[in-house]
Amino acid sequence: MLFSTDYLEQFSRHVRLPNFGIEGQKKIAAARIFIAGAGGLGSAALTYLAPIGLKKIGLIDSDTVEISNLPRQIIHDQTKIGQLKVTSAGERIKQLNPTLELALHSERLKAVNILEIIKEYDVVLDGTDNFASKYLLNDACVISGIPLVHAGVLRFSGQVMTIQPGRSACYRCVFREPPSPGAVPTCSEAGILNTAAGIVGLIQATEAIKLITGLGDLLTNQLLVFDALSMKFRNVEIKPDPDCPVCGQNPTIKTVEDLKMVEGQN
Amino acid sequence: MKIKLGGYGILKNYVGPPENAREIELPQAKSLKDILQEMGIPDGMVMLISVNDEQKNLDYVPQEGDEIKLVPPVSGG
Repeated sequence: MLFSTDYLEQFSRHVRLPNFGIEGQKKIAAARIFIAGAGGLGSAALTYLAPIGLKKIGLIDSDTVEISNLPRQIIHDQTKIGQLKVTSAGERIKQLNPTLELALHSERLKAVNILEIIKEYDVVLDGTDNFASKYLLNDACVISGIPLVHAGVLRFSGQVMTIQPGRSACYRCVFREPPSPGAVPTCSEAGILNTAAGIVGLIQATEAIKLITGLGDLLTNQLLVFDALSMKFRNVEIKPDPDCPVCGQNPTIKTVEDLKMVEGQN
Repeated sequence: MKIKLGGYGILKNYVGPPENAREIELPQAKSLKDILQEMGIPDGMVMLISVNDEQKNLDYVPQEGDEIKLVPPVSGG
């Protein structure tokens, strides 16, 4: 792959980074990232991943833009209220990088479509707003062998963990089954600080860049817990569970299934 | 027997943050599941249990001086 002078100028600040270089940019230029959810996490991740010269971004979200989304879902704006989020985000992404290949899915992630949708991507980011989707993404990525950067946010805090199937603990190693409906509040019930969602989304984007380029150490076998009020980032060690139903020695989950539970709201 | 119990996110409301963890006196050995139940913390609100920086489950029976951190699941995006 040969880069033009203009191309190298555009991405020069990354290319100049130690251990990134032209080789790193080549990896970025060949990489395809899938983002589930164009909400608070997805907005931050998309805004920073769209302009870096990726080959392709895929995005799924079935929601439309609402006025209460705008403080944190910064890929959308006042003119997009009522539009599908993928349409709104797609327009902004095209402004950030007109040559980026874009696949937009205005549907819900379900067992019936997830494996087919994610199979062509190198990295998946979880920006969904409900446990059913988070478990579905975990199971689908482990089964498909695709790295997943999981995250969740609530009030002033957030969590991130990177899952490399077969090499690190998955979401079910940490929390085997979803909590019962109503046990944990959602953002619409308990609130979410817009910058907390943004910080966590950017940590996900950073993990994606590291996964693609091979730079640094990943958030594997650890859960990063961020608290905006104390402004503390804590890494809690986790380990693969040999009895994990999806990535353990004798897995019982061998294909994806939709969880029957009450969906959270973003 | 004394242990320290701290929590992240919404669990701070029950046990205080990890840097200001609640000290608990346990007259007898019992599992974390029983301890959390007595404190009114629902099982589903605890995603990850870290004891002296090592992952444990609800069946764990705390030992003298344990520093326990509880992490809740969060689904927001």
